Amino acid sequence: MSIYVHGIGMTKFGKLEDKTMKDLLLEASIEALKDAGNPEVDAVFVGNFMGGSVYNQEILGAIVANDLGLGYVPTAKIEGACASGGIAFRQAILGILSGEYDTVLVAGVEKMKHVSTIEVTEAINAAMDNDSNEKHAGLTFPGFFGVLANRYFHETGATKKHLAQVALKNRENAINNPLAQFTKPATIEEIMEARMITEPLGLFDCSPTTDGAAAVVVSKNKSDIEIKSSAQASGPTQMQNAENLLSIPAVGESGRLAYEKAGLGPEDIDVVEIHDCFSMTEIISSEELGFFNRGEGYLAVEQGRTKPDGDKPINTSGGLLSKGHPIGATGVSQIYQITHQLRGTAVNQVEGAKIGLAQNLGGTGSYSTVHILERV
Amino acid sequence: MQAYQCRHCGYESLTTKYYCPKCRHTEFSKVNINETGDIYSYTTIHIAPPKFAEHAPYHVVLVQMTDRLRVTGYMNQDVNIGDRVRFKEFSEGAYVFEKV
Ligand SMILES: [Zn+2]
Repeated sequence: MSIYVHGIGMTKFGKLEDKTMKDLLLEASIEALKDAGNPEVDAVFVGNFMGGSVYNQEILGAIVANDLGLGYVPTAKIEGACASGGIAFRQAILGILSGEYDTVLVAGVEKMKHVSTIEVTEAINAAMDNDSNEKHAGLTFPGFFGVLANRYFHETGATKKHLAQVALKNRENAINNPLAQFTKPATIEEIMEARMITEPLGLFDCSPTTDGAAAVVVSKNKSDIEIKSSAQASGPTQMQNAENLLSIPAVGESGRLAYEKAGLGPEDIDVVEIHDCFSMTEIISSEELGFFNRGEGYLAVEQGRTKPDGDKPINTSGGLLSKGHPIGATGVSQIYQITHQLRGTAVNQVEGAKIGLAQNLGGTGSYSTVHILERV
Repeated sequence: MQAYQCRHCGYESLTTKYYCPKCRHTEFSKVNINETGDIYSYTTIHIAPPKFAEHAPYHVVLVQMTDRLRVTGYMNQDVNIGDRVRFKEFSEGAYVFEKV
């Protein structure tokens, strides 16, 4: 059975004080449904991570179904840390593949900007293993990727400048994206000299907290955008359990499965959205997904190969680093960008893009989803 | 310093597990491990969780203790990859290391 994308919607990403979580969720959903020609919907899946802990709002699926008059259709909220959106998208696909649904609405949403940094850090840390000694050593998510980055530098010859080049590229892409959180130009010097968060990662190497939502309508009825494959994998939940610190096995495995199911390889992909929660993550995952050899992803960045006019454009939306990272919405917003690319209507359009890939990560490598889409 | 070793495949872990993640066997033996190791990698944390804010900047280190076992720990001395460190104490759930 083939499954297709029929409609996409996305709100502005950023600090959206005057909008509630429901406003954002409905706004993105309505746009996606309109774009799809307002079809009958058989189910709703919502990706969300901290609606319960920092916004005291659950039942997101039922809210969408009720407020949009979708009827008594089944709904669910999907939680998979920062991969909540990608997993929600995959649940819609699996639901259609099972024969239970014909058409499904997927949305992702997060409200994070109304709480203090301390509260938000605590809430995000729920995606670490509470019973581990790592949390008690003062490790944080940016800390994990700081440890990884120092080892990557040690083994490959990469430097902080290469991380800055990732951040700069994604900022330059976001400048052209009216929905992005950060659209102010930055310089490589400014990025290199910004205050440190977890060395060697500075402010520009870390994705921000963001309010926002995105939505997609998928169906077994034909459209111009086919979902060629959907894959998901899990990986170590602790840094000290990584067999190879410079590898995120969940990313590699989800990529391998997605290529296998689609009958495609990394060489066939024209445009990519990678989960760049940190600049370092984009480089490692670009290697995991087979776009570049291990230990050479930083060279590809240096050579401009991942820019919109390069041979492997990554994060033409601005990525999490500059488009913003409303946790539950991120995976769905990647599908939004890839769909625009394949329709030929994207910001930073890659000329002639026919096949696109979106990779969404949760935790420090606990979850990863990969979806491959093709213009047909 | 104590660790646990899978009796079937030799996998080493800081804590006992219900199942060995490598071979799914369920029996582990307690083993004593050498309390010195080498810094495999590290970071310096400037923006810390609330509980650690007063200690920042501090280091989180990943220490290679044996061929099969790395341990995430806390240090307040400057370090580099390859530095030799010693397990100092287990404090409030964290392995604390110091330079040799
Ligand atoms: Zn074993």
